[in-house]
Amino acid sequence: MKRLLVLFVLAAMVLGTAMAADTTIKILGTWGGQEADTFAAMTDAFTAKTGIKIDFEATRDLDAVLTTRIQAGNPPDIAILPNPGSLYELARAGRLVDLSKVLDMKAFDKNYSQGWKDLGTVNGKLYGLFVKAAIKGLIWYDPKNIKAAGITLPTTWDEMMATSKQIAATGVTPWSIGIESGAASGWVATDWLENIFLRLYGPDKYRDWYEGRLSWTSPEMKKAWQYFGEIVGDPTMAYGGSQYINSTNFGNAVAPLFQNPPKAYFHMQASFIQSFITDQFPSLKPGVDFDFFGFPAIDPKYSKAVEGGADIVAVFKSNPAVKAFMEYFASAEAQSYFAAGTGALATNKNVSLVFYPDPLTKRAAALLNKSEIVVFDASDMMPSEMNAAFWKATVDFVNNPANLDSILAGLDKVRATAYKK
Amino acid sequence: MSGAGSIRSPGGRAGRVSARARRAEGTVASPAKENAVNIILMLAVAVVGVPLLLVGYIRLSEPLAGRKPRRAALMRPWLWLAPTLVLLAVFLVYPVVATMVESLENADSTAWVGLSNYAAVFTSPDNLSALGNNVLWLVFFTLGTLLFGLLVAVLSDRVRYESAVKALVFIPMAISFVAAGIIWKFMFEFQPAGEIQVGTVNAALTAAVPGFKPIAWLVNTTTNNAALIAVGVWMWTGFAMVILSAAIKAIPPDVVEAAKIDGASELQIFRLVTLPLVAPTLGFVATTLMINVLKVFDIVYVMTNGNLGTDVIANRMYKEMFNYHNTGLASAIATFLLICIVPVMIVNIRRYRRGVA
Amino acid sequence: MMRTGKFGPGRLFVHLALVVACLVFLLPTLGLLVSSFRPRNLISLSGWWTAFQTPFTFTLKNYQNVLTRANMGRSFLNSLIISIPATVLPVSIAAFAAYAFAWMKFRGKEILFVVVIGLLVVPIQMTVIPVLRLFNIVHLTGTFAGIWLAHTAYGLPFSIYLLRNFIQDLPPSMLESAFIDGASHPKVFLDLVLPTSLPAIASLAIYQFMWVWNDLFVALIYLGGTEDVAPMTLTMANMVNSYGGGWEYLTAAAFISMAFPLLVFFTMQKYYVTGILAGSVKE
Repeated sequence: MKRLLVLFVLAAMVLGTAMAADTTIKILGTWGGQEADTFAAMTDAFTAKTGIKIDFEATRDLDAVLTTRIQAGNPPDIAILPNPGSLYELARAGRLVDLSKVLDMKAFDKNYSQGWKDLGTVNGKLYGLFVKAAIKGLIWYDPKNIKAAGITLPTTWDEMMATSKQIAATGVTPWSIGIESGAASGWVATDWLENIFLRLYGPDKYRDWYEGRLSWTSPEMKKAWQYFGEIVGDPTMAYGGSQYINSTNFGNAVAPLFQNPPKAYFHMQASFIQSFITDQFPSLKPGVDFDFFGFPAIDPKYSKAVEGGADIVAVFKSNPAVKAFMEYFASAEAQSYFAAGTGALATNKNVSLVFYPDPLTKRAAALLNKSEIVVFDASDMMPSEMNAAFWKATVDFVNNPANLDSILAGLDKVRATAYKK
Repeated sequence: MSGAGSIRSPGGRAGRVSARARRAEGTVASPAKENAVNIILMLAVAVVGVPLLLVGYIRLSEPLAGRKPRRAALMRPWLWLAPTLVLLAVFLVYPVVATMVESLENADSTAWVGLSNYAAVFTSPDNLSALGNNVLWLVFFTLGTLLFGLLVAVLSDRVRYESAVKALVFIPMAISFVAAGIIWKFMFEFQPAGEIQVGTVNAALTAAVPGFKPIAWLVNTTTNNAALIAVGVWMWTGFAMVILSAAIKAIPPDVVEAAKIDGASELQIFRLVTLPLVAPTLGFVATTLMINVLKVFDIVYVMTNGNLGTDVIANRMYKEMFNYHNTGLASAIATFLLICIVPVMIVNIRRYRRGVA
Repeated sequence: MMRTGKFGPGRLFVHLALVVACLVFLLPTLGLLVSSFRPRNLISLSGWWTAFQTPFTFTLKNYQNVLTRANMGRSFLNSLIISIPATVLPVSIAAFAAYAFAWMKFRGKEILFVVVIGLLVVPIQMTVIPVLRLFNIVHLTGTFAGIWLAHTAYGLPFSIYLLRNFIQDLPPSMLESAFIDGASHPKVFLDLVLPTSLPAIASLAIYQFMWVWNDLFVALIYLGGTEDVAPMTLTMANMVNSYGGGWEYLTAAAFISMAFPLLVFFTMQKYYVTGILAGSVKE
């Protein structure tokens, strides 16, 4: 009896303290390691200024946790989504708050280009704030090795293939590719295809593609895959052949470039591969020991096109604390944390280039800001089922390029149902 | 956390679950306000208080069951089973029923679609391939784990370094799935022939077998399922071994002595004495393994995500539910999993009846 | 306990088989252990066995990073707070439920028991949404009490299955004589069955503890991933960034995380290695 009384009092005490006012914002995201540390530094600055606390939860199983919590009725206040596809799904389902009611849109328009604004807009309303960008489709190389081999950097696809064949003739594979990535295996290959497609057909058709209006079995689509097949389907072109490509984690696939003697010369990857290079080879200096050039042009009309990716911030519940935080999050001051801390590129165009830690990242940031045609990673724009099917299809394609027709037919089947949601 | 987010107010029927919780442990509604004293108190109550509470409960159930022996015998089992039944009902049975209902509805549970989700389960090539893999797992994982578990249990019983062996075999069970995934990614790594091998398996085989060409174990469609099943066996052999070892040690020594006196060989003893006496435990371990393998998920999810023909039905359910938000189809897959259990349950009913009789 | 005589080739086979088994089970984990002491750039470029050649490039950096990671101490505590009650509870409840199934007669016993075993197949992912909905209604989300109840419920089917299996193997004569002497069920259960079932209960406790200790998903859903409640599994998983960079810390994290359950295993070993019915058979 006495025990029960004690427990009752305890419960009452604790419940009582719980009823006290809370200014804590709950954020759910995928950021870990250094990203999380950087974000924590950023939010600590915010808490110091405003007294509003941030509770950040991170998991790489974001889909599962977010879906569960939304359906069970306790979504986070803010979520950092890894792709626009999820943003659009959630916005269309009515789960998100219109950001024009949260942010000062005048300040927003000054800081963000129309492109980033359009990407976050669904049915005329802004739902997503894009942060922490990366530029995709960069071709990485070791300048010393390139010089030693007497190679001039290609600017068109045909030049690149010719150079590749040249290198292959010396007995070394020109390319190193790795597309393994756990649950997202294949995304590297989708980046390849997206860059090829973009430079073949331009941004309008690119949009048709990710919005589901272009058939996967169309001759245009097939042609893009065949371009990719020139590299992955030829064992003399890619280090280790298809088995290596499918089994090697994307972070490790850049290593063959820096062996002595080099096992490969080119590696296509986004700007964030830098930290992976320095992790594996700490003595390498950006710009000196490794560098990048842009994806080669195919149709000269679209040679200035660039593909990017970013994380998206979406709001589930708005209140004054959330509003204050989002305002801060969108500011150049907050974005500079990411630029300095993780080498991510800022979407906010007013983040000064001085924040970037090295010349290569600065160059990448400048490239992103100045490119005329910037498109977003197409697979990320697709509904999640289509996205996953696309990833899986590239894995199957690398495994056996001869199956291209049936692979594309399978993708079309998914397209028939995936876009209905 | 009843912070900024409570949509519903505490219901009048504060559920048997939560009332018990509050009485037994003291609900903490806002962990951010916890301090060390609170936590220690909570822990003490949970660890010491709850068993005491339960003991008190079963003692109390005696007078509750009544004085008449017949009525008591009728009521007592249900009183003893009450906490179990309540917990299982809330956490397992209710979701199962909800899932079965959802399996007859569409993707966002807004309309009835009858059995069309089940049709999709059986006609989609992805699902069929996954089902086939589950059969592979069912057979080879169960056999492999039982075999190795029994082998280690029997053999280690006869040596002095038994504890060391058992500890080593048991270690994989203590490892989380994330860590196991990393361990085996290292083991199965692939480098092209002629290059420095970083993966243990390829390195060992390259060194031991002349002319061996490294294999990409997780990617090569001939080996990838076998590789994953091997990981599963590696992880679960310790489980089988511990239970089987206990059963072996429970065999009365005089039975074995008698057999030896009769001149039986080691192998004969194993076949005619050990096995029959251990058979019920083997059945128990086999049942548990089979049921668990039907829902095998983590190993496949972490290592290959089901690519290149390694998918399993639980991973398909996960994808449909959480990635594609297709609740109806996911629920149909889950319900199908439950139906697969029925034969296992029937076998167990028969065994149970025989055992009791 | 069976001890063989001096069997030449037989003994050799036994030793050989056991050594091979030990190697097979140890090697993968050993590889990870060695890798955890190697710098990141070497782990992916050369096999872990090469670490034993000159130059020796062992490093404690991975362990340092994990141990000094913000919140590691608190999350260790959280893991304890989550795991200990989540082991004590299901084992306790399962014990007398198993006894009821084993030694009481009532209608529907078989069906009910088989349903309990059947519930083993329910994948947890299938239960989270309905249960979380309930949790939100009764404000158990984010509370330790909630996660204890969840783990208890999820652990009950196997616990009951295991314990009933052992309890029913007790010699009926032992219990019958107690009943004849006028003992009630609680008395028989508490004074006779529990002590003799200690090895089974110990094994069960270890399994349940390890399972809860290594769990990530259930904690993430019902408890949340914020710093004050995150278990070690979550804090460690989050050492890896969203691209997968930083996985070398997981090599060290895996061992730090493994240390505690293995400690529990080794200290509890004596309870179940010595046999369930040692000595009680000849009653």
